[in-house]
Amino acid sequence: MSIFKRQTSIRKALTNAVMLVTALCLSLSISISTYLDVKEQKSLIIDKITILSKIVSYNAQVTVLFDDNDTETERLKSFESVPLIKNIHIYSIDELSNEPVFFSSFNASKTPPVPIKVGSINELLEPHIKDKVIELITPIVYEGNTIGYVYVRGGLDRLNQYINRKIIIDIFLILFVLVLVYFVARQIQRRIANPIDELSVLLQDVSKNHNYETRAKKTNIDEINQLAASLNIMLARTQKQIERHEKDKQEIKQLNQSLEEKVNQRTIALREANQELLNTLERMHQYQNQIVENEKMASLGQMVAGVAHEVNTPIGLGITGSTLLRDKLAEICTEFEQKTLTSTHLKRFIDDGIENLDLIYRNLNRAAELVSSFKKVAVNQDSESTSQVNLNNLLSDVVLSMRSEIQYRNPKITINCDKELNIETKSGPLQQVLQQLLSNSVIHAFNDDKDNEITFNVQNNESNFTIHYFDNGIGVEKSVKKRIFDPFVTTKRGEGGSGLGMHLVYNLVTQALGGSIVYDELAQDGAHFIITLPKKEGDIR
Amino acid sequence: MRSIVFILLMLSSWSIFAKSPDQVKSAFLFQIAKFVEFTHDDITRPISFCFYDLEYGPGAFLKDRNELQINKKPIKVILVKKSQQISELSQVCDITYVDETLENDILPLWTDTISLDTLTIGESISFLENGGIASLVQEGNKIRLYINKQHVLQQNFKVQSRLLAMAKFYPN
Repeated sequence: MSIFKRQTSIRKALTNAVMLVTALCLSLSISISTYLDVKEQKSLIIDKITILSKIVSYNAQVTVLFDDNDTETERLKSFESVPLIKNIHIYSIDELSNEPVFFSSFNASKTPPVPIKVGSINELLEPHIKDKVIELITPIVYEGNTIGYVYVRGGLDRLNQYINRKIIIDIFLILFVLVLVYFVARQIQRRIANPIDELSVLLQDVSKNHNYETRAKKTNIDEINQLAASLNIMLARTQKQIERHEKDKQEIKQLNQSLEEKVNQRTIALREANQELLNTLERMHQYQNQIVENEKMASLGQMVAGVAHEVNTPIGLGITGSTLLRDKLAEICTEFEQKTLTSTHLKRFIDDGIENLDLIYRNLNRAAELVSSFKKVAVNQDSESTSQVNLNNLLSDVVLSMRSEIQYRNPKITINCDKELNIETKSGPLQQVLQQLLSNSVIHAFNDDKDNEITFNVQNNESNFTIHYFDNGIGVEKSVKKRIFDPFVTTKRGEGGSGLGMHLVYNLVTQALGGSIVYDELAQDGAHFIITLPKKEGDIR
Repeated sequence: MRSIVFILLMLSSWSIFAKSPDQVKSAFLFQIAKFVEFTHDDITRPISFCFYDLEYGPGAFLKDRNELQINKKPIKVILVKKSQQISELSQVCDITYVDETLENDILPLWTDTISLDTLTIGESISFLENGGIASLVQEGNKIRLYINKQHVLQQNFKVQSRLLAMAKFYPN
């Protein structure tokens, strides 16, 4: 089976396989046939010897009975014509010793006599083959009594000759069949291998030259035709695939070119758009500045309008009072000139005059206060220099200074601050901020003097500190939350509120202190302001 | 079977005491009867051996052997007289043995030419020449059976070919 393992060609393998199988089959068949034949021949010879022995035994009955060995000897001579028989002995039972004794014999021509076998009767009762001879002893039985024995010795020369002849014939037959099979195998091999070779050449052509247009031809072998058909389908598909691939490559190339063009176009467009954006951004900055300025102007206008509105009332009342007083004075003056002035009129004029002057004074005083407040709003950052301040002490001092103002609401004030916390800040604006928050809580948050609480929680962070201001008052109205730090936003208008307190706080925190302040819109109970201030001036802006 | 073994033993025992020609002849007569098909109507009838003398010769050895059987039939030894015709013997005897000394006295008396049912056995060639069917002739130290083929063919009984194959024919 090694031919299938080694590198070999299909022609050689086919021939070898056919030859090997044929040789094996023939050898096996002929060996079995020869073996069976030889066995059969041996069996036939044994049967023949047995039959001849029985015939001789039967015929010898009478001669032994009548002690006629001459007749038996003459009769045995007839076996000259039987080549198989080489020697025959007939033994009769001696009446004296009751032992078998020689009675008659036969020796074939050119065959030497053999010793008497009376000593081997029991051994040779069955056919015994030894040294190219077969020996058999058959008893001569007459009416149930053994009256003698027949010893037959047959030669196996003819059997051996037959075997030799058969082996030679078989060898020649094997050789003949092998030669015949060889030529047949060669013929079959040509019929099978040539189409395979053609397929191989075709595939080599395909693999070397990438010639996918070629096709396998039809042969007279079905299996190879199937293979060729499959190969052709594969080649066709491959060819189609390659064409499609080439087409795709071309398309991809075109797409790449198109894409590059598009990219270039887009790049140019992007650059232009970018430039436009930059221009727009520049314009936006300009617009922003403009808007800021506009806002400033609007804010200023709004503030001026507020100021005008606030100041207008007392001044108007002052004007009205002064006008009324002038009219009263003109009437008195006329009565005095016409000498119709009575004491009653004068008394009434004096009373009215005092009343009007009081009115004028109060309104002018109010106007003066408003102007003073406006002045405070316009903070001057450079008006105070920074200094080291202990925040805890500062908070305590602010609370102490506000005691008289906030006492009527009786709030419980809690300060949670590190006593060692020192900050570098402007203490005046910070005090003002804290006072404003306390004032707002007392005025706006608390409706009565029960269970009022105000808490300062100070957090010391790495670069800043945060003051959380809590009160448990009514909180800030929703409509006011968004613009609580805008100027003139108040819920106590007409009740003494100007709406500038939180605006002032915002300006002080963001401008004077350089921090930030937000109102916690998520606060549920009361108000919560978060003030973040730098530890050193200029850290947060 | 036992009888055959016995007779073989007997024959062998005879040989112990120097087997005489008469002993051999009596044995031969017994064996010859086995190879002859007699035409008996009665199948139970014994095989009868007739002798002219039962005191001497082969008859003396067979006369008391009534237990012997041939083809499952007993044997019977009968003493006959010289004066009896062959036709009479043919009715009684299956085998009639004629001593050589009596041949000249008896054979001239057998004048009947009819087919016989008895096998006549003598002791000489002249017995065959004078109308006998078989003869046990002593040749040297052996007894050989001679048969007159023509006479055998004329009789009612049949001699088996196996016996004929062993016997010698006279005349040839």
